[in-house]
Amino acid sequence: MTDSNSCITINGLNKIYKNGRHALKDVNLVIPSGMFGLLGPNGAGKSTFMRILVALMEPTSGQINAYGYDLLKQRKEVRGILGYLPQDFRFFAKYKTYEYLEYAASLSGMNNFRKRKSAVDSMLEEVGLFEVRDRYANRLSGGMKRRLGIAQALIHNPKVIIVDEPTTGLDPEERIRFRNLLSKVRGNDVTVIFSTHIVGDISSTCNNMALLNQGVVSFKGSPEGMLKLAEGKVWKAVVNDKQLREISNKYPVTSTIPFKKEWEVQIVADEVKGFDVESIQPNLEHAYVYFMEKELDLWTND
Amino acid sequence: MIFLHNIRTVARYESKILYRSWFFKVFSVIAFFLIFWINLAEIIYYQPFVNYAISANIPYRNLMLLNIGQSIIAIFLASEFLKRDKKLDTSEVFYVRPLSNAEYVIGKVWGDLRVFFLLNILALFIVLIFNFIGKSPIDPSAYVFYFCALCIPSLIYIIGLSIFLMLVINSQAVTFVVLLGYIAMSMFYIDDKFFYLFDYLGKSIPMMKSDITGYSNIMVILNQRMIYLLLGIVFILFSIKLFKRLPNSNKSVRPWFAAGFLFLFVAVLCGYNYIEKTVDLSNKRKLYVKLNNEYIHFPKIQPESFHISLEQLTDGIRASAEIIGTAKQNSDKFIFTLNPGFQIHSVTCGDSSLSYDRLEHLLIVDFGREFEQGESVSLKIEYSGRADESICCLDIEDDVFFEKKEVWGFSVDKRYILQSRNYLLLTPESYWYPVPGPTVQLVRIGRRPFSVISNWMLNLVRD
Repeated sequence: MTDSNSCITINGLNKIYKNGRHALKDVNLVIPSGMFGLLGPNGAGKSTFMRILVALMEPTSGQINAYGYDLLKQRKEVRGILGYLPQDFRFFAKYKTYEYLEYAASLSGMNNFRKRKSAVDSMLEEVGLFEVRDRYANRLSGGMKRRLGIAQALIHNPKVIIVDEPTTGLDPEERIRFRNLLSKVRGNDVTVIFSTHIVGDISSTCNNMALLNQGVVSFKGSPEGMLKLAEGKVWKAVVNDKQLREISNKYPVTSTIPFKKEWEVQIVADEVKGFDVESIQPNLEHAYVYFMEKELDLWTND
Repeated sequence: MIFLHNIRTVARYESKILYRSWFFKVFSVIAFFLIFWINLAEIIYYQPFVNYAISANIPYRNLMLLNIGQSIIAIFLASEFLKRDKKLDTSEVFYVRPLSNAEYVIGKVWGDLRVFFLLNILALFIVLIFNFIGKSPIDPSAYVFYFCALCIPSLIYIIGLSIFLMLVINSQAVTFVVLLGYIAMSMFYIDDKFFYLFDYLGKSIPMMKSDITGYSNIMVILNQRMIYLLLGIVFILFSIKLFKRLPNSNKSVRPWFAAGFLFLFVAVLCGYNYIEKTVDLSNKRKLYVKLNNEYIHFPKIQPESFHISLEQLTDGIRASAEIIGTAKQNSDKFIFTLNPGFQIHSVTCGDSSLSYDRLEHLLIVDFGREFEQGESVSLKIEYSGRADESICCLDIEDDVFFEKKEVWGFSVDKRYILQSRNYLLLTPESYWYPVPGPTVQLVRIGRRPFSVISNWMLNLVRD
C-alpha cells in the first residue's frame, strides 16, 4: 500500500472547458515516487492534466493529493514542493541566463543570497549552461532553453517534478542529455511526471506509466505490463510493393524499411493471414500501437 | 519576511525588464534631453520672470512637464507585464511558485514605480544643477514636495488604473486607447472643472509656493492628491482579486479585496471633503449676498475715524476697533459688516456695554437710544478669531470667482487672507475691521455705497 505522503493520488478528476470540451474524464491515478510517464497522442489531455497538477488550472471536479497536501485547498504548499517545465518554453523576457534562474530560485524560497548564487552556479554547471550564463536567455539555442527550463524546475530540489513534452523538437543528443538529467533526480524519493507522445522517452526512463487518450486513462501500469499485452502480436515480413499496399490496408504497420528491392515491415496484429511473417519481440512502441488498435480501435496507418 | 522578499524579488526583475526595454530607454533619453535643453535655453536666452522669481517654480514646472509625459508611458508599460506574461511562455513557471497573487501584483507595480521614481529623481538632479547655475535660489523642500505631491500620486494612480483596466478589458490596445482618451480629456477638457477634482496629473490645481508665505492652501492640495493616491491603491488591490492566476487559496484574495473597498471609502471621503469645502464656500457666498440684500436699507453710520488696535495671534488675530461717525438716519440700531470668522467679545459705547446681533457677517448694534440724523455716534468693538475668506469678493460671480488663473503656464491660487507664523495678509475685501452697512448687494439702489474715511489709525500690538 502506497503511503499518501509520498505519492500523488488523483481521484475522479474531470475538466470541462467553457466551450463544453470534456478534456479529462474521471481520471484516477496513483503516482508513486520515481519516473512516471504519461503517454498519449496530441489532444489527449496531457497538458490539461499537467496544468491542473501544477495548480495553474482548476479542475471541474475531483480530488488530488500530493505528498499529503490537498491540491484544491493547499495550493501554496503544493506549489512549494513542485517544479514545472511547460511544453512551450521558448520566449523569454529580457533576462540573462543566470538572472532567469536566480529569479526562479528566489521565488522558490531561496532567500539567502550566497546560497542562492551558489545553487544557481552549480545548477548551470549541471545542465551545461555555465559558459553562457551571461547570455540573454532569448539568444540560447532550443536545446539550451530547454535545459534552462529543467534547471529552473530543479533548482529548489522539489519533491515533484512535472515536465510536459520536454523532448519535443530536441535533437537526439539533447534528448539523451535531458533524460539523463531527469534520471539523476529520480533516485532521491522524488516523483517525476513526464508527459510525451514519443514512446521512446517512456521506454528508456519510466518505471510507471499511463496511457491517456481523449481524456480517459486507458492503461495504467508499468511499461513491462504494457509490453506483455503485445507479446506474440508483433510480426516481421519482407514484402514487395503490391503486398505492402495490401498489408497496409489490412493491418497496423509500425515500420517500413527498404530491404534490397523490397520492404521489411513490422506489423502489429493478433495474427497475419496471407503473408509469410515472423514473430518478433515487441517494444513499447509496438505495445502502444497494439493498444491503440486493439483496445481503442484508433490506429491508422495514415 | 517572505512577503516582502517576494515583492522585492518580483520588483527587482520587473525593473530590469523596464530598464532594458527600448521604449523606456527612448523615453528616458527624450525626457532628459528636453529637460536639459529647456533649462539651458532659459539660462542662455530668456527665463520668464515667474520661473525664477519664485524659486519653487523651477522644480514645479519641470516635474509638471515630466509628469504629463510619463503618464502616457506608464499606461503602456504598466499593463505590459500582463500581456508579456501571456505571450512569453517561460513566464508561466513563475506562476507555479508558491508566491501569492498579492506579492506578484504588488511586486510588479513596485518594480515599475521605482524605475519611474528613479527617472524623476535623475531629472530633478539635472534641474537642480541648472537651478544652481541660474539666477534663482534653491528651494530644496520644493523639490521634495513636488516629487511627492505631483509625481507619486499620479504614477500610482495611472499605473493602478492601467493594470485594473487591462484585467477588465483584457486587451492592451483597447486599454491604451481608453486611457489615452482619459488623459487627453483630463488635460484639455475636464482640467479645472469641479474645482480641480478630476485633475489627476496635478497640472491645474494651484500648487505654486511663495518664498514668503509658502503654499497657498496646502491642506487642499494634499487632500486632492490623497484622492488619487488612494484610488491608485484601490485599483492595485482590486487587480489582485482580478489577476488571472489561481491564488494560493481561494480565501487569500478576500482581505485584499476588502482592503480595496476600505481604501475606496477613504478616497470617497477625501473627495467629499474636498468638494464639500468648495460647495460650502459657494453656499456661504450666496447666503451673505442674500443677507446683504435683506438689510440693504438698515440704518448705518457715516464713519469719520477709525482707531484699530491689532495683535497677531498664533491662530488668528485679536483686535479692537473704535469707530466715530454720524448717523445717516434716525435710528437706535446701526448695522456693520465684520468678517464672519471673528467672534465679537464686546461692543461698548464709553463705559456702557451695548447689545448686538450677529448674523453671519453682519453686526447690528443696539445703542439703547435713538440717534437723530447727523448726530455723532461712537462705539468700540472688540473681537478675535481667524478671518474667513468666504466673505471676500461677493460682487464677483461664482464662475469667475472660481475660474482658474494662469500665469505663464502656472495655475495661481486666489487668496485674500493669508496667515502664517511670521506673515499676516488682510485685504480690505476680507472686512477684517468693522465697516458700516452691508457690503455688496445685487439689488440696485441707484448708486454704489461708499465710505470716505479721513482719520484712520492702526496700532499693531507685538510681544
